[in-house]
Amino acid sequence: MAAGGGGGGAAAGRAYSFKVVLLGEGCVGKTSLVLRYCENKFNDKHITTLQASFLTKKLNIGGKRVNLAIWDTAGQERFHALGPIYYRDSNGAILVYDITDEDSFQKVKNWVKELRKMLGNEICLCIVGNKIDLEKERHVSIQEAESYAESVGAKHYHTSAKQNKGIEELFLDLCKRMIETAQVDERAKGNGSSQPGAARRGVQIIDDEPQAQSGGGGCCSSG
Amino acid sequence: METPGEPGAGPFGAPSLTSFAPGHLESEKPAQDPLYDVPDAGGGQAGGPQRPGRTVSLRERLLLTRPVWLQLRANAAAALHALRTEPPGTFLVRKSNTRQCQVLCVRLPEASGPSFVSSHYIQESPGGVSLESSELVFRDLVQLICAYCHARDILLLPLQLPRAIRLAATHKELEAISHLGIEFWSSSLNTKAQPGPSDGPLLPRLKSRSPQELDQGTGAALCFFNPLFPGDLGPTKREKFKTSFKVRVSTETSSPLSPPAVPPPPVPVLPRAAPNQTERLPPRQLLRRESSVGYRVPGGAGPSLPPLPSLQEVDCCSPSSSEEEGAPGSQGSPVTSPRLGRRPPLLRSMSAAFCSLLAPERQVGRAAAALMHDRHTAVGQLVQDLLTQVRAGPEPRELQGIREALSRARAMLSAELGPEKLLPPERLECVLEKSLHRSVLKPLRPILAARLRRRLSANGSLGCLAEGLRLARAQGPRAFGSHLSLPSPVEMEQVRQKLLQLLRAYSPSAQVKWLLQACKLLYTALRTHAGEGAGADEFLPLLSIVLAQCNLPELLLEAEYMSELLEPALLTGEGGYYLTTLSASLALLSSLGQAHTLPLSPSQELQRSLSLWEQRRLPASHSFQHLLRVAYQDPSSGCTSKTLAVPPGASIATLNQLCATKFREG
Repeated sequence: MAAGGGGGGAAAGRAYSFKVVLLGEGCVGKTSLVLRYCENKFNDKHITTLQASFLTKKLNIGGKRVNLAIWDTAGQERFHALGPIYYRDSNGAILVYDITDEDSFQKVKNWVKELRKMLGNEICLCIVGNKIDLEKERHVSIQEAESYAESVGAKHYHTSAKQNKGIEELFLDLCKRMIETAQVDERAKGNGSSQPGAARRGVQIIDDEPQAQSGGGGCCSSG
Repeated sequence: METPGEPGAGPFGAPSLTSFAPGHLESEKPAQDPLYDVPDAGGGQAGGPQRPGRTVSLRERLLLTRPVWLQLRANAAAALHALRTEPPGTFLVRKSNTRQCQVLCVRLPEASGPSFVSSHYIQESPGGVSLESSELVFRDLVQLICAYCHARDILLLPLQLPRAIRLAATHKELEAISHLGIEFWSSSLNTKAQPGPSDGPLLPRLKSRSPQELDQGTGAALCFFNPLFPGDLGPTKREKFKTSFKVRVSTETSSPLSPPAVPPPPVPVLPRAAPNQTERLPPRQLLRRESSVGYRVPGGAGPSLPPLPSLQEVDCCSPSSSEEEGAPGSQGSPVTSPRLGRRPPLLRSMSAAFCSLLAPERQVGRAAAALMHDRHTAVGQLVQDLLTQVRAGPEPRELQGIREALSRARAMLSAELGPEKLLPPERLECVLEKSLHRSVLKPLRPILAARLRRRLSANGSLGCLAEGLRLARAQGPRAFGSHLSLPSPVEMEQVRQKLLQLLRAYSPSAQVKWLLQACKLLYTALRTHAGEGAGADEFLPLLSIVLAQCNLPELLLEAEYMSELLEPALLTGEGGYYLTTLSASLALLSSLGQAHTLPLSPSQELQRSLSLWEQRRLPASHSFQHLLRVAYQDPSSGCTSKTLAVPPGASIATLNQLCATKFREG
């Protein structure tokens, strides 16, 4: 049997495409975080030279290929209202605060509320306390942050973009959770394909057996 | 999938004349002229038996003769009876006995199995009508029939109108036929060209027909024409073509040199497909059909020269127009190929030879354009109808409708051209998308832009943005709380030039490329001011400042145009991100005029953008991207391919099952 992709062309194996939105007050280090994550092993064939605001990353997690698109947002309060047009259709959100800035943690709480209200449980939330290199100036207690995260069904991470700490784990973990969510969705929805995000992923086939060799000697050969 | 069990249903299908409601189609029946010209029973008009009704299109023929082929009162038995003596391909539409839908009954060649009629349920959905198990959706029944007169898709052979209808030259003749209704089938008007001595003289006459005459939808003998090689003329080339496409050609009723249009073809030479395996024949037979749809381009049929692509078509494929937007970086590069259509005839064959040497992308582009410009193909019908419809007048959410049609047309083209494997699948999709933009959006762009402008002026959005832009210029960077300084005038002018290019482009993907180039310039400027780590925190204010300086309120139109018409898959990529940023920036600028609403409530502009997106999600989830072309090689009967709808996340097991159902092979 020979199969030709009609749309997405992802006939061989499986590739997940996830959109992750990066939210948080200005100056908490959202951009550095993602730059650090992507620049280390940034080996993308895209012509993406714009950098910084939109980044992609390709991962292979236990044989599952993941294409990650990371959307940075402007964090200043005056831009808050623009949030929805960025986070719509996201599979995951990374909510970053600065551990030395109590206020930025408050902003994270606002985002959590808004995201849960707008996107429900479909979206995987990560709450990230950044700048742990400035532990001495910490103003947000670990205890408080972690219990808050738990209470809203989010995961909490400690990172330092400066020292490149905790960042790999954060994204890896998020990807695994998004894969799980996607699998649950797929199982639950069966043929339906109307969940946000997934609808645009094109054809996805689980390659769970070796593809039968095409017997089509020339049956589809082009002229 | 349930086999439409009509072959079996025929014998014991009780006459059920009661279960009938006149379809809405009947109400459209054209007003009848009381003066009928009755076509000569022998089909022998003054101009000869094959005189094609040049002024009457296939669609008109179908519309006018609905009372003949649309037999909603007929049951399976009546349909069988009517089609019993008809040539293969003859069809009628009746109501299903068992389901609330119509059934297309098609006369099969004698050799094709126990039953001589195959039946196909016609499904109605909000998007239109389609044959069960086919992916092709049409706006209405007539369009569907039209398409299947030229493309088999899941049918064993293309549909064919009765000879008298095909040959009728005037509306009056057709009306005379139409007047008979079901009686037509048994009337003396329903003549069949029997292959016999009486038809002998037909052949020489046929040979002298011009290609234009062949263009009249005379049906069965449409010969095979490879759109990928528009210049494919002589027997030698055709032979080559035949070998490369042998699986297709074998079901064709005409060889390159055989005369076209001798209905009915005396039992077409079908590859006999192990009849012993088959119990419920018609659908399985269909699966053994060997070709994909639509390579028969009527205009190119017959032994004589196929017409060269029209000027219009050539224009559409000309390098100048494809480079104009295809690769923004390469603008201004010299036109590298001749504009074939403008060459004198002597050079045509050279041009044709040249064509076949063109890069595969160009070939695919040309083939796609040819299909789209040919109303006789399903996709051509879709595209041409779309053009007509949009030109006819504005409709609510029309951009979404257009995007949907584009996606559908692309799926059809992809199913059509994909199997040629001239290009890798992703590249193919890209080329097809571009080709669609050229054939659809290029001609429509002025109309659509004017309508958008009118709408956005009327609801105050454009005025609001213009005011916001003015305020932002007056306030400078602090309007956005940004400490950034303005980019230099040179940088500003460079960005402005890119944005002006964006305004001039018709293709949303080209527009997005211009946008990306503008953004890239901005990043370069940003880095000198804000360092390497600058992200969205800095970029959004900078973009807004620059947009204010450039003062191009028309970008509001373009943001909507792009968001609606860009292929949905791109909306989550980099293009989508910067398009979102553009929309965000425009919303921000628009809200400056209504300063009190920020920062806590979204501006009117933002809400508009969001609600547009909400609407967009619907068609996107029904996207036609989940189509998979599967080819199956059967040692006894060659290769069959089908386009299957595969839901996202389907497993191989599901796919296997789907194939098993669709192909029904032991």
